[in-house]
Amino acid sequence: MVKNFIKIFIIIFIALIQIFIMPSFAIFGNWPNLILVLAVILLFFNADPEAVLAACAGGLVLDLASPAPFGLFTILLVIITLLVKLLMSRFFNEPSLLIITLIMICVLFTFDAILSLVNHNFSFTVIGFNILYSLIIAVIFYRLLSIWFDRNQGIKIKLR
Amino acid sequence: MKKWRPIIIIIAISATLFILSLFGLLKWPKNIFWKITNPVGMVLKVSFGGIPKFFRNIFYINSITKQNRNLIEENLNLQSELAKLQETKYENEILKKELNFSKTAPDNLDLFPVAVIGKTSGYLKSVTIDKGEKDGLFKGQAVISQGFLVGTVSEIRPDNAEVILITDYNSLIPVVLQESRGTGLIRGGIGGLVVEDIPLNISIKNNESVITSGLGGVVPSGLVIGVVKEVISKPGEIFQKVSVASPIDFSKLEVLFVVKK
Repeated sequence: MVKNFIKIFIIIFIALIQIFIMPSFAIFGNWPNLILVLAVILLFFNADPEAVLAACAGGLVLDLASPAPFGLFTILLVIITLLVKLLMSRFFNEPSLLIITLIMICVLFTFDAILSLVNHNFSFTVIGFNILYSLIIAVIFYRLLSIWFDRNQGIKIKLR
Repeated sequence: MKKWRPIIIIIAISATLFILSLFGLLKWPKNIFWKITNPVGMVLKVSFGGIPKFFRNIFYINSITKQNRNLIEENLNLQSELAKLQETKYENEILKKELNFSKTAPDNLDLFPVAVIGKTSGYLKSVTIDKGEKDGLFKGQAVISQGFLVGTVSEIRPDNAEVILITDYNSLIPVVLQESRGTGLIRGGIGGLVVEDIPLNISIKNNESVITSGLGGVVPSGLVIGVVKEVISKPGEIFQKVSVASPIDFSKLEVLFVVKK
């Protein structure tokens, strides 16, 4: 029970960092979606309930803070998280680093593309830079989560 | 099952809030959300907000020095021009009085300072400000930054509000081109700021100012938005279109002013 509260608190804290701090670190007017990156990285540690919890709780906070129709962030985050899980369990049991990177790029592109198309401001340049930015954040999250989770419980990543 | 319990609870809360949003009842939960999280956000901004500014200053120190020199020179020129214009204004007032002219537009705007407290995503061209209904704000009010129009109040709550930026596709504001006097509507979107529906008989000048026309009644007239960059309409179109350049960096808005009157 206490562990669940701590997890939800950390997820909400990360969502608040995205809303209040990340705009100061914007590049070309954009910044990574920390909740999306967190949810996908958690899947790499086989922490499926935590990944879906991040998508739900983080999505709820982002929906409350956002002027967009309520539910947009939650639905997008949950669907993308579940799709990635399905993809990895069906086709990529022991993915290589290249596959992991490609999955991350596809996830980030899909999310950013949907959000930008809904708001009529799609731009390959902006999305491209945002993907690179998000990949750097993903590496940082992976390192931090390696302290919490045992690396052996995660999916086996082939380096070659 | 135990692992999924918190997820089920959060999904139930999301579904409830979604149903409330369908009936337009999400004002209060959002108001409470910003009221609770704003103090946390301020602490985070004070703690970490200075980091990007520090690195930006080091990176741009050379151009900042040059810019500073140019601004000092420009300031001196503007001061002398201001002195001449003050004299012209005085003459204008006297002439208006002589002709019994009634004032149509206020000389000084009643500005109310507000702070930007949060932004969910760079793709959503909208910001949340820390003042709301209780402070006398209402929907449709113009919001300016450094003297330029940046948006209008789109959603109002008791203690905070949403400001839709003029760079948003759904933002439409009636404007007039200052020299050629062509009227149109300015809209944001992928291509940047564009003034549409300008009549074909208007001969547009590059770099002329684009200002609000006051049509519609809520956004006052005379607020500067930017300058004409170029005419982008194609031959054969029944209206002209121009792209507009604004000097405002919309990704770095921090303190704004709501035009009360």
